[in-house]
Amino acid sequence: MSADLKQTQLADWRQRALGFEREVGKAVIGLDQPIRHILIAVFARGHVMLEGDVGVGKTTLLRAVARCLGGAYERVEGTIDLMPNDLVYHTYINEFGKPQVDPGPVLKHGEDLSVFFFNEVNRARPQVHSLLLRIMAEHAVSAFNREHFFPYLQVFADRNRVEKEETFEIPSAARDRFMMELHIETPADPALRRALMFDPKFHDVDRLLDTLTPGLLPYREIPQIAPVIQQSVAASETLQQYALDLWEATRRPAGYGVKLDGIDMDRLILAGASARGVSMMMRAARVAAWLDGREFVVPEDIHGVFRETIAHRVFFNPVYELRRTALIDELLDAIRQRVAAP
Amino acid sequence: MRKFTLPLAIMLAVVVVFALLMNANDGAAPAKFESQDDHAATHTMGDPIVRDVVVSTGAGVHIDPASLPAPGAINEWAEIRTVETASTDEQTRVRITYQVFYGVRGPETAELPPLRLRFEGDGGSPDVEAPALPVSVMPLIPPGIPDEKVAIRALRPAEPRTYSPYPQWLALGLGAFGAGLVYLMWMRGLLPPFAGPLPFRRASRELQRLANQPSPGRAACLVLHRALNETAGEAVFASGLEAFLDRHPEFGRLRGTLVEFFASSRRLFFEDGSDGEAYALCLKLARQARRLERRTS
Repeated sequence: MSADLKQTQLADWRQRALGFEREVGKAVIGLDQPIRHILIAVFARGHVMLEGDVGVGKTTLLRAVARCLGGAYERVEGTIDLMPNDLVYHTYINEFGKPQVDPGPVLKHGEDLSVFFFNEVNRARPQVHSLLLRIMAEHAVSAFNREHFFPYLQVFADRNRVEKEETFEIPSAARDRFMMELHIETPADPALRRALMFDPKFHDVDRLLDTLTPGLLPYREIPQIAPVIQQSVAASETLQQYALDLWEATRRPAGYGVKLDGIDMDRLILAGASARGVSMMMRAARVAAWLDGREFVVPEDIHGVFRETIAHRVFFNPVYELRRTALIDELLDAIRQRVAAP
Repeated sequence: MRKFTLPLAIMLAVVVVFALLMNANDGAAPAKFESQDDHAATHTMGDPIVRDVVVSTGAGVHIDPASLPAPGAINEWAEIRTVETASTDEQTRVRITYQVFYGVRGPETAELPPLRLRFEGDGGSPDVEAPALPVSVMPLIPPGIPDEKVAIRALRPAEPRTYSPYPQWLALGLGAFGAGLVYLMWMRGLLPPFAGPLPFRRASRELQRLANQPSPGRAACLVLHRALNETAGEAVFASGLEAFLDRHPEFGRLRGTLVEFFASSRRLFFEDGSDGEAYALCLKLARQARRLERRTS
C-alpha cells in the first residue's frame, strides 16, 4: 500500500471514528471521555472494563457502542451460579421432548460476534473468569471438539462497586487482559442532570438506542486498520524514553521523587504495571494521537490514557490496598507530575 | 492772720492740683526699668549684658521704632548686639543686649548710657527715659601679676550636647539600609544561601555556554524545560501551560513565547526532529523569564 493511499485510508477511518463518537454521544450524555476511551480501545483492539455505581449509564453506553459498531452483539449477566459451559452451549428439552444442545452466547454468532458484553462480571465464579480470559486473550474457545475463533470480538464488562456480597474479585491476571478500566460517574453538569431527569428521550433506553445509526464502523475491517494505525503513528526516541520512565515510576515511584502524604513509598508498591499493560498504554496512545490528527505521539496522548490503562495494573501492599481508590489516583497524578518529558 | 491764710490756701491748692496732674501723667506712662544680668554684679571683657526696659502704656499707644537704639558701638568699651521689642495692650518690653569690650587693669565702674524712648498714640505720650546703668568691670588678669606670668586660661570646653535621639535614629537608619541592601541582593540572587532557586537565571548562563555548539537547539530546549519544571515544582507540558501561568502570573506576558517554545520543542523531540530556530527562541525566552523571575522571586 502506497503511503498516500495509506494516509487517505487513515483519514477516512478517522472521519468514521469521529462520526461514531458523535453518534454514541447522542444517546449517552455527559460521558464524552469514556466514549473517547472506548473509541480508542476499539481501534487499539483492546477490551474494556467499566466500573461505577448502579444506574450511571454503563449498560446504555455499551449498548450504544455495540449498535454503532455493528456486528453481532451478545450480553451475559454475571451470577453466582453461572458456569463456563453456560457461555458455550445451552442444553434443553426441545418441542419433541428430546434433549438438545445449542450454541451458547459466545458461539451463537460464530465469528461474526463483535461485541460481547459481560454485565456484573464480578458476580461470576472464577471458572467463568478463566474462560473469559481465554476468549479475551486468544479470541478463541474450544467447544464441540474444535476451536472457534472470533476475530472481530471485543469484550466489554462491567462491575458495580456498591455490592461486595456474593461477588468474586477478578484476579489480577484477568484484569491485566483488559486494556482499560473506565470509571463511569453521573455527569456533574446540572444541565445534563436535568436532561437525564426530565427529558423523556432518556427515559426509554430501547427507543433511544433505536434512534442511533447502526453499523457506522465496518467492524470486519477494524482488525486490518488497527495495525496500520499503530505503524503510521510514530513514537520518537524521547517519547519512548518518557514512556519507559513512566513505566519504571509505577514500579519504583520513590526513585522518581514521587511522594504521597503519610505513605511509605518504599513499601507501597507490590507490583507495578506489566509489560502487557504498558504495551497497551502505548497502543492506546497511538490511537489517541491518530484521532487527534497527528502522525506522532506526544506525552499528552499518554496522559490521556495513563490512568485508564495503568491504574488497574498497579497493585499495592495489603496494608495500603484498602485505601486503593484514593491512593491510586494520587499516585498516578504524582507520577505524571514528577516524570518530565523531554 | 486771715490776711495770710487765703493766699496760702490758694497756693496749697495749686500745688496739690499740680501734684495730682503730675501723678496723673505718671499713671498714663509709668516706666519700670529692669536690668537682668546673669553675670552677677561684675563683668569682664566680652560679657553680654541684657537690659530689659518695661514701659506700661495705655491702649493705642505704641513705641516709635526710630527712638530705639541701633545695634553697633555705643562708645569705646561697649556695643549693642541686639534690640528686641515686644508689645501688648498694656506694656511694651524693650530688650537690649550689650557686650562689654573694656579691658581694665583694675576694677572700674562704667556706665551704659541712658535710653530715651518715644511713644506715639492718641493724645500723645511723653518720652520715657531709662537712667544710665552702672556697670562694674573687672580685669581679665588678676591685678599685680606681670603679663608674662599670667597663666593662660584653659580653652573653654565644648558645650555638652545631648545626643540621645541620634544613636537611635542612626541605628534605625543603618538597619533599614542593611535590610534594603539584603533584600536587593536576595532579589538579584547575590545571596546564594538564601537566594532560592532562580532556574531561568541559571538556564540563561547554561544557554550562553551552548552558543558555540554546532546544533544547540536540542540541548537548549532541555535546559529550558528543566527551568520551567523547576519553577513549577513539577513537569510542565504544553497542555499544562495555562495551569502553570495561573500559578505563576508573573510569566503571563510570556504566554505567546511559551506557546511558541512548546510547539518548537514538540517538533524537535516528538515530530520530525527539526531544530529550526529553537536555540534563539530558548535564549530569548530565558532572558525574558529571568528578568521577570528577578522581580518576583
